[in-house]
Amino acid sequence: MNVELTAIRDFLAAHHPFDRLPGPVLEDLVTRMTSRYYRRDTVILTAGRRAEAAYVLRSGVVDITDTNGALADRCVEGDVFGVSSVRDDSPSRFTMVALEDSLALLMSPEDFRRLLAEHRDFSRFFDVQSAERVRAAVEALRTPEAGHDVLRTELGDLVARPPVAVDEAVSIRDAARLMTGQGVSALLVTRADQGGADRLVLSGIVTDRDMRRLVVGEGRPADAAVATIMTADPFTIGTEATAVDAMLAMMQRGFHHLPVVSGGQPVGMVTSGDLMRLQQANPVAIVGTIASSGSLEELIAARGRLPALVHDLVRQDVSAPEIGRIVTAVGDAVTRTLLRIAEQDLGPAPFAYAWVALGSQGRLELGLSSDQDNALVLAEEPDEAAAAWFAGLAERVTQGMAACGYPLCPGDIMASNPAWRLTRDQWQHVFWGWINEPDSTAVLNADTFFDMRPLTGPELVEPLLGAVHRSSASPRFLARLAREAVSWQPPIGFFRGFVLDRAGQGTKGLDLKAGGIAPIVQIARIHALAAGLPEVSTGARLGAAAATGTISQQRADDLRGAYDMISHLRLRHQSDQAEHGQPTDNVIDPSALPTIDRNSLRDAFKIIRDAQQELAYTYRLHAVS
Amino acid sequence: MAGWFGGGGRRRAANLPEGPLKRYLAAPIPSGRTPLAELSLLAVDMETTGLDPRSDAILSIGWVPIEATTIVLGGAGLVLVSGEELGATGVGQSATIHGLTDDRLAAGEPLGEAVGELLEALRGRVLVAHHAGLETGFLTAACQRLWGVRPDVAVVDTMRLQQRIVAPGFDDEPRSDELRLWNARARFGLPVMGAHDALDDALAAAELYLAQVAELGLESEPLRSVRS
Repeated sequence: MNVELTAIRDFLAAHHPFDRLPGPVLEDLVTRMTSRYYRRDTVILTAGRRAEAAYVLRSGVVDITDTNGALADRCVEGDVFGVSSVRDDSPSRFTMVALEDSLALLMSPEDFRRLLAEHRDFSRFFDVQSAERVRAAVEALRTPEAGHDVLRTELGDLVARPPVAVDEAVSIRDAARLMTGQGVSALLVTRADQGGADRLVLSGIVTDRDMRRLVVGEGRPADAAVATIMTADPFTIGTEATAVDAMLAMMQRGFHHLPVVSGGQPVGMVTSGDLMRLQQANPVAIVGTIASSGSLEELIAARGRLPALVHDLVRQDVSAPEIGRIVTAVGDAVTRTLLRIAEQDLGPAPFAYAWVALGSQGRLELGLSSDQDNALVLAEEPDEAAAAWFAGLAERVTQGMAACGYPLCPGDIMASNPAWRLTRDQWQHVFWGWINEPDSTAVLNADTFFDMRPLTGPELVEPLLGAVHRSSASPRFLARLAREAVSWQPPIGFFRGFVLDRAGQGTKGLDLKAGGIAPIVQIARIHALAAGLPEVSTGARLGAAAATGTISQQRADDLRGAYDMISHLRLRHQSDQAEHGQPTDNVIDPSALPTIDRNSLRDAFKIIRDAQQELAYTYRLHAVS
Repeated sequence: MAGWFGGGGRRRAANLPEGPLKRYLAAPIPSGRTPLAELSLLAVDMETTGLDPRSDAILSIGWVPIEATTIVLGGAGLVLVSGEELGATGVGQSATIHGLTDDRLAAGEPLGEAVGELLEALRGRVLVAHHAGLETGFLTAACQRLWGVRPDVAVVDTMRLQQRIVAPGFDDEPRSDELRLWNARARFGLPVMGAHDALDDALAAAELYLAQVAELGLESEPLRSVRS
């Protein structure tokens, strides 16, 4: 008999992963299914028992709870449950209860396992590779709008002409003539490779600025060799690097010209002008304007262009970590400029010091609504006058940052707090206390200090950080951090426009920081500290931790994917807010998200919960589920 | 139990030729004392040219079995009745309702075979339908015409069950539209389906039956408490 239960077939075909089954397989599956109805509050399956079937929810709502009674998932129409018990032929770890009157389709364990074995597209969905789906979502999020992928251009394609180069021995005058003749603002200086016949080696770079400053300004003789005024062994970039990479390198180093090399040979030059032509709002230009600002007003105006820039970058093919680095480069430039202006006002520093960025700025992960976290490392014990000078400096810089859009830290982790203006020895002592006596020296958010990155005076800070990374963190200290990392509770998912927590309660807004970013940052930090890794950014910490084996490669990749995904959503949200003149925050309305983003977030939350569980197990934390 | 298998069904069955009706009548029908949780049922829906079994004709029959409280999709059936039985008038206006055109019905089966298939599926089972009078009326009329026997059929009417749910009191009068199949289903949040054939409607009645049994807590009640 040729019977088609079209209603059931169409229902299944409209839901993933059944949409991946070939038509005849799906039709055959329908004839093998049964259907049952569960009145609300009916227990469909009790934890500890084997599921007699894999269930597809056709209508209603089913809650999946763990043995502690915490909600693990809430299934709605089209969701599949009972999967792991049936697949592994093991007792269910979860209890399933109809929250509302529910109608389900049942697949026998044999049928379900056969589908898993025979249809890879179908089984992939159940591989607990929520990570794979998150990665796909990150890719999808990063898919640029038409014509917006220019920042992915490889420099090899961007470099339009061979480099304008001269030999080291050429005179400054001839070099200047060549620049004028070729209409370039910088020249590569080369010398013949002693080994190869025609090969040239890059010796240095000369810019029109060098000409002005050294020849016109300082009166160097124009017939001297160009090598005498060049910047020797300049920073170079490879042809396979992208426009974003070049942009970041320029922002971080304050360059406007980057020689492009291939196989050690100079093949061209990329300038900030080239990059600026790629897009209107250009981070290099913003950083340049910030660095040359002479007053707070100028700084505020320059920094005010950042939200529009982020808005552009989010819509281009630029990843969240890259945008984080760009936003951080802008923040670093603001901080350094404020330091310069303050020093002009206050007079020279009594002795060397380092201004260190902490927290998200330290990690190169600033967002548009991030608070400032910073501190001072002093070369000496200050006397009263010196102490007043540093207090004045810290006050000006932190207030200036607040005026530029970096709110004051509510926990007062700022250089303006005398507790965080310490000498290197004092800092070492403080870190030692945190690491070795975590209970007696408990400081709220002390972990923020482990994301330390010097903005000035790196030579003062690097020995300190080296000592911190070499000292093996005590298990108690790591356990304390782990306890904090698992205390963040990512939501379960979404239900009818609400964010669902583990107690089954719904809230309207989703806090992307508390629910996703903060726990991943902390998990990455713990792994870095446990392995004594110097990396500060979350992605780099996870990658390095995987390389040392303190975390599995799979787990690291999963967390990185989840982090990128959530960060991207946050940047998109904040830049939209800024675009509309609203204050920026971390709270999004889940009902405004497309289904695919909601599903990816749900997967990302699961990745975090799994990593938290592993952490809880590793550090033997109890009362954590 | 009067009339349950009265009317001489058994006596006449002995005289019937071998066939689906004879086999149907020979099989034991569930006793009125059988709890619903142990019952075998068959949800049935018919598309007809009108409402009068004496003058109108069956166009198609859909069914799906229910074992206790589980719908067995693999047992689902759908038969189209060939147009020969309809005479010169054809499907006529009712085609606009059923979407069954004369062309499609031309590919159907003679009424005897179609009803025979239904009887095979119904053997040993209780018939479930929404507003079951139509299905039983057309079924018995067809059997009378084909084989000269009006079989007794054990029936549960989901419309009657719905009446208990929406109007539990003696004097309560349900609004008639509350009792329609798709409105009754909506009360339980059962899925909304698009254009449907007799099989989809049979499935719809089967799902409604499960919901009603659960809602009224009838699993351990005997068949006689719900049959029509």
